[in-house]
Amino acid sequence: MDVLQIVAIGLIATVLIVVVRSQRPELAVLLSVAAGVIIFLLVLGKISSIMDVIKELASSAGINMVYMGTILKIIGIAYIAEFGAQICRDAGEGTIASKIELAAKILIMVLAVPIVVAVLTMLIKLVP
Amino acid sequence: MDAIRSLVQNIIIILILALFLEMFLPQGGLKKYVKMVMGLLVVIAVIQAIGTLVQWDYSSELSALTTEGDRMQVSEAIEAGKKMSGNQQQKAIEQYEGGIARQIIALTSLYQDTPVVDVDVRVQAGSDEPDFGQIKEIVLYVAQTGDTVPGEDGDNITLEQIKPVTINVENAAESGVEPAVETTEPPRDVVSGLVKTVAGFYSLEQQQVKVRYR
Repeated sequence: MDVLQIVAIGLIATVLIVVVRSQRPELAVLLSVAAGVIIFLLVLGKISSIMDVIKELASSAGINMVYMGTILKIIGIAYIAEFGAQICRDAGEGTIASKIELAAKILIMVLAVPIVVAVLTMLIKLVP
Repeated sequence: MDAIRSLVQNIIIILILALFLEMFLPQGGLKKYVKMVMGLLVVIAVIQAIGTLVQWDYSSELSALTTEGDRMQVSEAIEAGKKMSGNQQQKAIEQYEGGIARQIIALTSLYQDTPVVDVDVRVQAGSDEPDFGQIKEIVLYVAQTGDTVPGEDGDNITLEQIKPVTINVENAAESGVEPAVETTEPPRDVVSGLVKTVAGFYSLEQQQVKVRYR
């Protein structure tokens, strides 16, 4: 059972972090990062199967994979930024976390600009 | 009716896909941004699906979101092009074979004692082959004596049996008269010469030129 492994890793990491944080707070952050990476690697194989389903759905709807790629990139950016920002908050660096989130928002907007421009142009043309 | 069915089907799939993707979104503050972009994508997909239905030209405003129609057109065009190309190639090969056959008949008309009535030319037709267009085999159909072959003016000409030819040199030398000549059948040396001529004219191996009697 993958979920048992993941929960076990999470609990062990939590206990270790709680124990270590009082003595060596810098190691607690590293442990937190390591636990997050291990959990992510455990579910990485499952994500690819979900991606296959999404691609199949998109192709059955006749959606161009360029758009799907944009959406998946945006979701990826959001996840990575959230992950990094939470680690920063755990380490007590809330300002850095907010900077990471700001960067992620800008990157998402950059990727969304072609879609936004396309919709705006189309709507303007629809208005007589 | 089919178009509306297809439109509804596409919109349903797009909405299910959007819901499916929404489950993936992180719980933090970035969720609303990703949702906004996904909403725009759904708007584009729906407008494009409707545009396809009413034959509205949206391509100038929007790069193709749905590519199924374009892909079908391109594949159909490629398929039609391949078919046309194959037909043209087949016709070209047939004309080439016919032209060579006529050339061979004209060339072999010099051989009066082995009248060639028909020629079958086989050319390498596979365009993928390295020797595409080269002559694979030539079959000469030679009329046997006693047969009738069409003459130049449309009349049939009956080929007469040639009498065997024997050359008696010794007796002729003794008596001092010219040697008597008798014909033999079939004239293998003449056929061999015919094969050599055709093979040499088209730079072929002699095995590629075959003679069959009719």
